[in-house]
Amino acid sequence: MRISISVPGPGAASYLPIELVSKIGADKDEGAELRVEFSPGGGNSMTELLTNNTDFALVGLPSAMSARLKDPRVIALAAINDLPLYVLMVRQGLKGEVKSISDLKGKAIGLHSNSTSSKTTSQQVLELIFRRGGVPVGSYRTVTVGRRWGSESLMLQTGAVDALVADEPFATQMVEEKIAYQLLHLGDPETMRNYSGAGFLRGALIGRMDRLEIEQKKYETMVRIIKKTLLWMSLHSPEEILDKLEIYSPDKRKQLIELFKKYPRQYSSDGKFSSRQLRETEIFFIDSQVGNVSAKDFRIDSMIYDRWVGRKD
Amino acid sequence: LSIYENQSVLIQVKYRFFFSFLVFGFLATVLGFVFHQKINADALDFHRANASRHYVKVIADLERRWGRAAFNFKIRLESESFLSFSLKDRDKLQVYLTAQGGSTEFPSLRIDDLSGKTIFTYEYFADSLPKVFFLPDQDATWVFDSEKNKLFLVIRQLIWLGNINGYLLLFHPMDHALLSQISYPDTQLSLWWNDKPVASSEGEYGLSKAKLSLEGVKRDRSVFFVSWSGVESAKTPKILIDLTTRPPVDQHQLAIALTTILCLFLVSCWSILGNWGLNNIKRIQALERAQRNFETHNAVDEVVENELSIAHSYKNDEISSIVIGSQKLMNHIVRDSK
Repeated sequence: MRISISVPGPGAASYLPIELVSKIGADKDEGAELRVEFSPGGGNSMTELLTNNTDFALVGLPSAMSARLKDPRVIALAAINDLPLYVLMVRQGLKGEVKSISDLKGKAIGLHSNSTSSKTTSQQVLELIFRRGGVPVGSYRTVTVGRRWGSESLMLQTGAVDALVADEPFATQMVEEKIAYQLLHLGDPETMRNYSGAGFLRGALIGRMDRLEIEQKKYETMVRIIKKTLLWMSLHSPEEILDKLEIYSPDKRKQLIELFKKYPRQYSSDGKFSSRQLRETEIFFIDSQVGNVSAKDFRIDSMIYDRWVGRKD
Repeated sequence: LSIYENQSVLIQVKYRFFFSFLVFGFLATVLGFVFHQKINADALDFHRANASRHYVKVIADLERRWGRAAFNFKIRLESESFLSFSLKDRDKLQVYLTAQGGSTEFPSLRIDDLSGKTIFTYEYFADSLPKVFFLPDQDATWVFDSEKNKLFLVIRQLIWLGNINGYLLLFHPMDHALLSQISYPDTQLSLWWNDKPVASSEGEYGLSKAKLSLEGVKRDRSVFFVSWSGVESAKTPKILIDLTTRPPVDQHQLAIALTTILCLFLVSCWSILGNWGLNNIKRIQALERAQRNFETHNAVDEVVENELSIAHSYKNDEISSIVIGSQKLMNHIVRDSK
């Protein structure tokens, strides 16, 4: 059985479980072969799923919720990444000039989005923290940046963008290579307290209801593969995970090991949806969608398909 | 039917009715089946011709659109003046392409010098690009990435690199998404390259179905190929069109129609012929009983008169005339015998 999935990346820590699947043979164990297609952002991954290019997508749940507003086929099948480790990075050349979010008024901000019809999770995060920081949509210019180390770092280094929302471990690497500095880290406990819903479900396995009806076996197999991979990760050390991923660069290993140790609950261990986290995701989504009438009445439970992973409090 | 000719009229009539019904039923079924086949074949021909015309037009439209987009894209790149290919200019081009996002028709591109050496590559989807071979003066070709099972249309144009020409190679993926976008309801598409399906309007799931559809090409006229013929190339891909439109009349509907016709035939036969015929046969049978009674008792008694009255039934037809004649004859015989 051939299974395909679109994932933003490569290299984003949030989506490492998918890169690990074939390395530990979780797909082969289930009689499947997983093909991972990397895309420049969550919006692209959703497009790949909705236009039949892939069977599944792994994106932030808020991004899938945004797509679900327009397309009722979108469903979430498993929780993969529990912790949103988004970091607002400002290019090094602006150090001293930009000290708070309000200083970013009129600047060029990088987004992973490329569509007006739906918003990626990072765009929702950015709009929410900017609005709270007194910088409403329209008071800054947006530029598309790909979700890859090469494109994000290049856009900051050349001054094509002044700030962007980066994922780990790229954010740490940008600081180490003095490309950009951190203005706000969503993983910090204090930041999480200041932003309602900041503990939203970061990465979820997304599928389509119409496909599930005709390919139930494939969907069930994929969920089993994900559960097996998450369980394997929870039982192995960061070093063992990186060995399997064949990441041997000392700098990269150091960054990722520190990240795994700093945020031990980053990845789900069983794929189960947490009712509390779903509520928090709903709060975050509605809060980030100010002015979007259809988002107000949106209920997250309408798109959760937890038959194979189950729920927890 | 001649074997029943010595039976009673009632039995003969019953058998004749039964065989008439069988013959009618058989003819109606044969005719119904022939019409059913004809209607469905005509409808299929109509849909098939429509789909062929539609996809020939779609292919031409897509090629025109991609050709225009490729030309405009090249002009934009040249006008941005960052094609001298110093390190700084390459960064500028990379930034420019990144900021375009997925807005162009070509998510991947390559710039080669005239000797064919690659000097710049951009891949929106982090794909590695396959090698492409062009014939002299060829401006578009197909290339298949066997590792990823992906087919690309590659458009090549001369591009001004500041002080010398180079080649701009634009890659358009012929993927599931493209076929999903151009398919319409009740039509499934798959793209075939070297007798293998490489994309389907139904995604990965459609690839295995496409192989089954291919078996239907020879025996089923609802499955057929249209060649992607616009690009000048030794090999061209083909689109397999599988019409899944329901036939105007299916077998279930045909069975219902035939049953209804047979029931109507039965009801109309009974109400027009059956009831009338049965009453007249009863009159003939009453006449026969009157005659037998008369032969037995040699008298026109109450039983005979009653049977003759049933046979007459106060009607003015040939049977009544025979009844009146028979009664007169009986009375003569009785009188003569006295």
